[in-house]
Amino acid sequence: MAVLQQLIFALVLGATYGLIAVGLTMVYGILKILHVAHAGIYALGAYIALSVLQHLTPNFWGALAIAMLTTGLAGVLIYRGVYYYTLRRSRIVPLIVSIGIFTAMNELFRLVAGPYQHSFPAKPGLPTLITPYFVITSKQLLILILTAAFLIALYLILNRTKVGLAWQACSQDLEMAGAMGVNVDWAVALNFFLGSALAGAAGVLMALYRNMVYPTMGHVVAYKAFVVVVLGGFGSVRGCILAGLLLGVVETFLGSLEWFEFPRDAIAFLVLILVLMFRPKGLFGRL
Amino acid sequence: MLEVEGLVVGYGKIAALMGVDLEVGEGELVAIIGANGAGKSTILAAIAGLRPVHGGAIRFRGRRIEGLPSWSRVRLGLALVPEGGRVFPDLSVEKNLRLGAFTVREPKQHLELVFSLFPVLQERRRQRVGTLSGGERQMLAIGRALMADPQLLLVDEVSMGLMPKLVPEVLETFRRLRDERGMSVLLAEQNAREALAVVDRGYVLKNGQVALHGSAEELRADPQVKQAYLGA
Repeated sequence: MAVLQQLIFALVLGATYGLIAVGLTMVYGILKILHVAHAGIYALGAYIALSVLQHLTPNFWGALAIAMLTTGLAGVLIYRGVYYYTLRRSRIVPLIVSIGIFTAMNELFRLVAGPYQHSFPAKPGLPTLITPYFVITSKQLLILILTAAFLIALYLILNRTKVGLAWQACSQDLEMAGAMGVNVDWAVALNFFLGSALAGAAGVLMALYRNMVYPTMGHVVAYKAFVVVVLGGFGSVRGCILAGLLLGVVETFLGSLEWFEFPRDAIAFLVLILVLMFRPKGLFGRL
Repeated sequence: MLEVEGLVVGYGKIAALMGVDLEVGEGELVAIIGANGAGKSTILAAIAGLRPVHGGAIRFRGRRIEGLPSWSRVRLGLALVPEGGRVFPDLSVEKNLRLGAFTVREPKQHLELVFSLFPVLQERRRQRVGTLSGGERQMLAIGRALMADPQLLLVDEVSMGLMPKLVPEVLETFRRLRDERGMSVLLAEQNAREALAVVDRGYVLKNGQVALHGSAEELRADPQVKQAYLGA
């Protein structure tokens, strides 16, 4: 059953896409800026986890927790330290600033950790599932379980808590959310924290899965996360997760066809162009 | 309750308000009338904290508030019904009301009050707001502001979103809220005739300045007001 096995690969890939893009779509939903540096946060997560594993503790969970906390704070820092001052300007200003931060982060990784690939020395501590139809390695299992847990938690926060309600209001009318008594500065900062921590987690999971960490690991991810956000309908969390999974499936299945010689990482853009031509509002409606 | 003194607000190089003085007493119903573009909405936006103030002072219950962010002003007891309602279209009626009560610990009794004032909101509580009619949205905007249990309600052009026959009814609601709950209300209203029929006092705004003020009776009797705003 090669199809089932392919589906496992697709889900693992799609889950990480969703996890990265969710933070991006949350930021876009509220501030309407394209947060390119989000992919830098993703790579930062991988580097933080790597250095925790190398210098502090070999425990994967500890590394993941510290990476998420650090990337969350880094996200807040980028918002409060930079974007905050550009919000009243034309939208091109935060965009350029964001690209600048992303480039600076890549160079920082190169300077601090060196231009080469590091392996990622962690063991997830889960079994490998072997069935007659497919195999799920312990790393894949870990990614699937953790991503599902994060996304369910995010769903509950968005729909069952006051902060989630505040975010929904902010994404529809920031000024009115303030007039309701929502402390908009805090709401946006928290939004950055959560979105960035999830991107950081995605970076750690990808580093574990591919067993490598390198300075430009955020590059392709940066482009693809945007594709996912556009497919998901700009600012919709549910749409974004579905779009992430869909992209994972399309990439995996098309990429596995022998006659399909198109580079795998370019599939996302093919899909993007098609969607923008025929459904410019994305595949899925707003949440 | 509310004292506005020498309020100056500018958009770019143009001053929208050029030194406005205005007062709302405890339990008072006050209207700002004037033509489109006279600056009525700007006054309310400045009081609610949606526009930066460039000069003058706003005092609410003895406190200077012109430097506070909008969300802190809600906590002090101010709530705004903005022009056009500006309800959250992708959320349900109930979630909109819960947002109105964002600063309130026990929103339940306020919810009952809102549902008793506007039963249609209770019927549609699970409905997405985007599907409501214009009038229903306007009622939701009023209900949402009441959820904050404000001491001063700022109401911007409520008559614009309503069918003409509903206007007196809604204005009467504000009067009842004042009578029963001691709430103060400041209306910005283009429909001077309807507004002056319910309020205690009024201000006539012209080109960003108060041209005239007085009790509703005085204004209704004023020949200039009659000619310019009452169409008589």
